[in-house]
Formats: sequence, C-alpha cells, structure tokens
Amino acid sequence: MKPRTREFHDSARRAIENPALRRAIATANESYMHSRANAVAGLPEWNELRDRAAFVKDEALDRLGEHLAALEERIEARGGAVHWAEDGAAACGIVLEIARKAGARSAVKSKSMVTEEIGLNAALEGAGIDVVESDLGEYIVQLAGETPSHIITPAIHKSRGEIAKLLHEKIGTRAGADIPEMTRGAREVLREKFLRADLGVSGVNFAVAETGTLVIVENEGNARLSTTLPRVHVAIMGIEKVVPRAADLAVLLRLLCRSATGQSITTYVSFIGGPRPPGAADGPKELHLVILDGGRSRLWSDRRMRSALRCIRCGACLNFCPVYERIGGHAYGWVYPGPIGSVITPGLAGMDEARDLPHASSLCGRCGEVCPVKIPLPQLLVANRAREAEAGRPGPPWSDRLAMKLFAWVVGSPARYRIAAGLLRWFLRPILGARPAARMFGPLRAWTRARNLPRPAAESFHARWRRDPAQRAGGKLP
Amino acid sequence: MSDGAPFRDRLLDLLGSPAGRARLFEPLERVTSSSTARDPAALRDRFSQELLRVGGEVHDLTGAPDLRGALGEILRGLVPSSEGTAARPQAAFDRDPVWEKLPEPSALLLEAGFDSVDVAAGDSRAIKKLAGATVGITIADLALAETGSILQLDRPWRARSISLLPPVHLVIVPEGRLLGGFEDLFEAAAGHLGGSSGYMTLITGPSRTADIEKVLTIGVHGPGKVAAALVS
Amino acid sequence: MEPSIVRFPGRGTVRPRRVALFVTCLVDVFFPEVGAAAVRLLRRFGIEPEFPEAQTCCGQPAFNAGFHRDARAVARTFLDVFEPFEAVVAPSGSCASMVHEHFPGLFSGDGALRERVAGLANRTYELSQFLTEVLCVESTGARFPHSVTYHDSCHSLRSMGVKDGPRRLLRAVEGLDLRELVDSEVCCGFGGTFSVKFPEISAAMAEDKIARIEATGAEFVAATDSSCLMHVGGALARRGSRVRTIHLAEILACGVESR
Repeated sequence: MKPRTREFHDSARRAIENPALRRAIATANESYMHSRANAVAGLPEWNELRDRAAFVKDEALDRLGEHLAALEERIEARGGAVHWAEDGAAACGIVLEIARKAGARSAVKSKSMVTEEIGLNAALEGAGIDVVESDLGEYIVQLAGETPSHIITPAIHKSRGEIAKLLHEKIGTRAGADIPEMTRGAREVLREKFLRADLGVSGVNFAVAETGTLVIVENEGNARLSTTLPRVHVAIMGIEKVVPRAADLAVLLRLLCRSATGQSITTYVSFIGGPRPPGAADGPKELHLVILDGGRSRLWSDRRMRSALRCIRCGACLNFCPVYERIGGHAYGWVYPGPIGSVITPGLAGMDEARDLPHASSLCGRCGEVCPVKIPLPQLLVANRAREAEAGRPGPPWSDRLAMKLFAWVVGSPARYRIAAGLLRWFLRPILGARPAARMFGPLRAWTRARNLPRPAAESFHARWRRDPAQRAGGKLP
Repeated sequence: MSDGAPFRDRLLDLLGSPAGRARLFEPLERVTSSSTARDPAALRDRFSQELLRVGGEVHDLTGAPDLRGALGEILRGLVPSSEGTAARPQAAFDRDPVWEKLPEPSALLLEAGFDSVDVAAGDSRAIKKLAGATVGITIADLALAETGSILQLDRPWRARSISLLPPVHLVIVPEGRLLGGFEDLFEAAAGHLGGSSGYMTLITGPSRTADIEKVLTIGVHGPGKVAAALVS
Repeated sequence: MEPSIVRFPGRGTVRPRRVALFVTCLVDVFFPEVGAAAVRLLRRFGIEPEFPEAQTCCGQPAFNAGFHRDARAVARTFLDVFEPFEAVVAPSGSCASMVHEHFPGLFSGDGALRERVAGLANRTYELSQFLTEVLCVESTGARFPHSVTYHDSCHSLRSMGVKDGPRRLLRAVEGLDLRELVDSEVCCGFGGTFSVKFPEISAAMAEDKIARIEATGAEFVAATDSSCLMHVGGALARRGSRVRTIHLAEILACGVESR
C-alpha cells in the first residue's frame, strides 16, 4: 500500500472535524474497554504473562535467523514450500508465480495486514485473478474501495446505515437490512467464493519454530475456509512473527485474544504445518509460506527499535490511544495506525514518509501500559524523534532546531534563565493582564486559538526566595 | 556474502544463522495459571460454563443410561424439522475409533430423522457433500475447560470440513480427553504438532463477528450452532 | 512504562536531612504559589528544604522532541546542582519522571557518570509521593471546604506510580468533598510541544477532559502537575467556565503553617 503519511496533518484535522467518525470509534471503544477489562481481571497473572511473552518474543528476535531456519526446515520436511521476499514487490512476484503455476483464476483472502502492506490484492487483480476478502469487515472495506481503518475491526469507521446502503448496492441485500441480515447476505455470497476459489491467502499470527506451525486466529471461520477448501494455500508473514515453542502459545494466545477483542479465546485457532497428508479428504494440496522482510531487518538491526518487532498486532495500543481515538486509522496514511504505526512506519516505509507520525502523541504512556508484550512504545516514539533530530538532512524543521538550541542555551545558565524568564514576564504580563484571552502569533498562535495563556506571576519563585531570606518563600504569597 | 546469493541467505546471514550456541527451545517453567482445575467434575463444570458463555450448547451425558436416545434428542433439538419439507436433513460424521463405544452413528441419525453423508478418507467429493450437509458430528480429540474449546487433530478418519461447512456442529467429548488449561493442551498436542501432518484446529463455540459497529452477530462463515455432548 | 516506585531506604524511619526543592521552570515563572505551598508542606513535616538557586529546568522539552544531546547537557547541569542532596522533591510528576526515568538512559555510554545520574534519579520524587512514601504522611491537617475532582497526570500515574496517595491525602483534608472523575486517567492533551504541533487534537482532548470535569459538578480540579492544569485551565477560562484549577500542593497546604 502506498504510504500517504505525508498528508498526516491535513488528514488528522479533517478527521477531528468529522463527528460521525469520532462517534463510531468512541462507541466501538467503549464496548472493547469493557470486554477487555473483564477479560484481564479474570487473569490475576496478567503481568507475569506479559513478562513471559516479552521474554519469548525477545528470545526469538535475538536469534531470529536460527528460529526462521528451524521453521523453514520443519515446514519443508512436510512438503510445504518456503519463500523469502526482500520487499513487497518481491513478495507479490512470488505469489503471482505460485498462482500462475497452479493455474489459479480466483482467490479468497483472510485478514492480513501484511498483504495490505505489499498491495497483494492489486497485484493479483492485475494478473487477472479475482480476489475477494472473506473477513466481513475487510469485505465491506473492499466493496467500498477503501482501506482498513483498524487492525482488528477494519470497517469500524462505517455506521450500519452506511454498510446497509453499500451492501444493497453491491450484493443486493435489502435496503433496510439489519445487522444479522447483512451478515447472512455476505455469508451467502462468500460461501460460493470459498467453494470455487483456487487459491487461499492468509496471514500468520504466530509461526512456531520448534514444530514448524503456522497459527491463525479468527472468529468468523473465513480463515479456516480459505486455508482448507482451495487447493493452494499461501501464507504470508513478516520475519518477526516467529516464536520459539508450541508451549509459548499458551501465553501468547491468552494475551492476544484479550488484548484484541476482550475474548479469552477466539472462536477458531488453526495450526497448520504443511499441505494435506496423502489420502486426506480436504485441505490444500500445496502450502506456501512467504517470509517478508519489507524493512523489518532494518528495525531489527537498530537495537533501540528492535523491541517494536515483538508486536503481535493486537490493536490494544490503538484502542487506548487518545490521539487514535480522535482521528481514526486512515489519517495515519498507511497500514499500521496508532502508536505501533507511529513507531514502525518510519522504519518500514522510510523516515521521509512518516516524519509527522512519531510527533502525534502527547506521550501519555497508555499504549506502553497495555501492550501485551511490553513494547516500550512511548520510549520508541521518542527514539524515532531522536533519530529524526540526529539525521542530517532533512531532519526536523529549522524552526524546531532553532527553538531547541535557544532553549538549551537559556536553561544552560541560571543567569540566562532568569533573564529569559524576566523577558517573558515583561512581555506577557501586561498583554494577558489586559486581555486574558489574547490571541498570539507565531508558535503560541496554535495554543491561543482554543486556550488562554497562563499569565506569568509578578514575582517568580526564585525572586521571592532571594528577597525574603527569613521566611524563605514559605509563607502565603500576597 | 556475494550479491548473487539469494535473498534468503543474505537475510539469514544478517540475522545470525545457526552458530552452534546454546540449544534452541529450552523448555521454560509454566507461568502460574489460575485456570487449571484437576478433578473431572470441576473440569466439566468449567468447560460447560465457558462454552455456554460464548453461545454454545452443552449436554452432560456422563453416566446417561440411554445415550442413543439422548443424542437423538440433541440432534432433533439442533435441527428442528420444518413442516412440509420432504427432504430429510443430512448429517456427516467422522470415523473416530471412539464411535465403537458409542451408539452406531448411521443408525442413530436415521432414527433421529437425518440422512447420513458418508465422508470417507480420500473422498474427492467430500467437500461437495459436506457443503450440502446440515450437521457435522465429530469426536473431540481433546477439550479445554479453560475456554470451553474442543481440539480436532488431523486424522485419516476425519475431514477438516466436517466441523466447518455444515451450519451445525455437534461434538462428542469423551471424559478422559477433557484437559484443564492451555499449558496442558500444548503439552498433550506437542507430539502431533511436531509430527508429519502438524495440523489441528481449536474450536470454541459458534462463529461470530462484531465487524459492524461492534455489534455481536453469531453465525458467520463457520457453524452458527455448536453443541457439545460430554460422555463417559 | 511500568510505574517505578521509588523507595527511600528505611521507609519512614530514615529521614533525609538535606532535601532540595526542584521547583521546576513552569512553577517558578507561572505558579510560584505552588512552590510556596511545597515549602510549607515540607516544613510542616520537619523538613527544611533547600533551594539551590542555580537550578533551571529538567530538559524535558528537548528530550521529548528528540534532541538528546541538548537534553544531556541540561541533565549534566542538573546533576551538578542537585547531586549534593539526599533527596530532590519536585511539585511535578512529569519533571520528576524526566529525572527519575529518563536521565540515566541519556548517559548509557558513560559508566561512571551514569552511576551518579542513576543515583540521583533514584532519589528524586514527585511531591505527594515524597509525603506519602518517604515521610509516611496520612494527613496534612489542611482545611479546604470545597468540592474537588482529581485528574491523574500521565507521568505521575504511569512513570512515578502516583495514584492512591493524592486521593488519600485529599480525603483527609477537612471540609473537602472529593468527587471521583470519570476517565481521570485519560490524558488531558497537553503533551508539551504536542499542544502546539497538533493543536486540534490537543484541544479536542482538553474538551473531553473538561466535559468530564464539569460532569462532577466540582468547583475545583486538582492535579500534581501544573502543565496539565495550565492546559485545562486555559481551556476552561476561554469558555468562561466556573471551574477553577488548583495544584494538589496548594490544597494540601491550605491553612497549614510551617512548624
């Protein structure tokens, strides 16, 4: 998917001014928060689980090559094929080649962020292969010609009315259909697609190195259908999806499901090790695993950023982020929104593309608090800002650099600090005394559009302390 | 590494290829889990509670005198007969050896008002047949009390789609196969996961979605009705 | 970020003798009454705070913006000013957390210096935390007969682990009617330069916070951080609201005389 992260400021502003979008997200969030709180409360060992999950993800990341090699070996031993793609274009090329060799004309897809990343649908369609998204939310978004706005609930930005209208137009469901009816309508259309498709495409939630197992979690059943009925199954994963042992899944599944949807487990968890065994009645005859780098090795090589690769794509950080809540996923301009998006997009899509994202955060810290694998997201946001500041060209705007240099210079000496504070007092006190709601120019203009500025005190704490040695600033101020 | 080396080699080289350091996959102690019960009655209770919570049906037939009658009743309850329909609904079942200790399935189905669909191993028309079936009946390989789930391993006697294509899934859970928590499950399944097929699927209740305004809808692509019958 | 609860050795039994007040630049210039309240509170419980006049700022704006070389220089100055003291107390969770959580990482390349900085970081406290955890104060003996709602400043809550302390102290204030704020833990939207880089998002967050505050019907909203109060207060004033902002220290010191 082509990044549109350069448009972030405008997109964010438009989103804030869209009350329908904000209402949709707020409603969805409320139910999620409730479910998740209950689910987490039911596990007193929640923090120990997070510790273990961070540990095993780091274990895999620290010896990533070995884990990936083990995964490949075991899948190949069962007759599966493993392919390695440096970037999105290479990955699409591999999938197209697989499809060509299999004579595939139609494909069903289950939800996969990585396939969004590489623009797989467009590539398949370009080769004349009919692709349909089978996850209900993704299907809706596909029919609307849009991109998903959330990792877990892709169509959360659309109201039921909008969806009813869309489905009526595209698949002929009743114009005033309610949610169960819409769901039934989509199910009927998609059932045919499942039964006829030559190719099934899926993502991977976890890839177990010890046993060579691809794990896929879902609630609808579309991933099971996509990976069982068509004769070819292509699974695509980022290099960071590998985990060491099957036993680790006990911890990871508990964390993922609660963090993503507030469930103790999703309806279906599929564990796939290879193509169907000889003599089986169903299951794919070919299993292909495509392992994608796509810039992840760059993140991996930067020790400061490596922990970002622990991400299990649960979406919790999005749900808890006050910024995401107000602007939704599309404003972020790429596949991964919210805090994790702001952390990894500069690494995956390039710093030039995503320069605004790491700054779109008040660093409130909620994301890091809820991350099931303890990614220090606020720290990584700051690390991204630091990388930008350290970069020669283009780096941060010159006005930022100037302001910082000035700031550091001023606070570097008590005398300069006192002079600067005095200047501020001298300038702002009269203005704000006369007009508390005064609008300012320059950087303060943005502040004063919606808020009053605080008025500097007549006498600073420093001055008072020096003035009144006996009382030493302890008494009440006049 | 030379430029001509395929990307795989370059990548694994960068990420650190096998270097004979400490063993991989050293086992770790379990994180204390509050969710593992031990005695059979407690396991059954927890299993029922969890499966009911996600909209499944649970029938405790442990020690039931007339299994055949009971199962027949459950089946009829799952697929209420519509008046005036000539065709009998179709039901498919697997060939788990456990059936030898249970009422014979095709006779059971006949009595309950169903036509059996025979899906043997290697049946190339299996999928088509299952797509036309109303009920899929399987024996659980394992079950999990922690979440009310059942596990189906890949078996020569069971098509994967039996528990997937028909809109109703009836699963029979033999008592000894009910485990407490995830740790127990993965320990028991480790051999199979590392084995020649490596395939298994964990099923918890009916299919669902909340993709539209986060409103829960039961029954999407997978079965919309799931019933578990616990037997001794 | 896991809250790192700082424990002074011999909690409650060993009183630090040399305690420095880090008043913070915001309080110094805009809200000196908060500094005065902090001094009164410390004196009330037998601590004579010192005020090293060479202090300026903790460097948080530079750090958060990614200018870590500059932040390091500011931290170096901070170390020189405050190292001689056994404890450093600041009436601000965000400034205290800048020192406590982030200073050591700025010196990861320099072993000896890092040790010194880490030592200082470990003895830097947010004011209410110092009162409840080091001095084991249950009540400050203040009187403030008003309705108050309390907002959890992000850094106090998540970096310094400050949550129950302020509420306990507030409940012990005579005449005070404490009203629990819905979504008290949600960010007010200040976030330093975030407030001017993304003013619409920042303002929207303030709006929601204000709606929650007004729903409590309280006369005052209190917090441990003047930055939050400045941001929320500025928005409250702009819309002519009757609600007033007040720093936690000011309430806790109300009517309290230094011993």
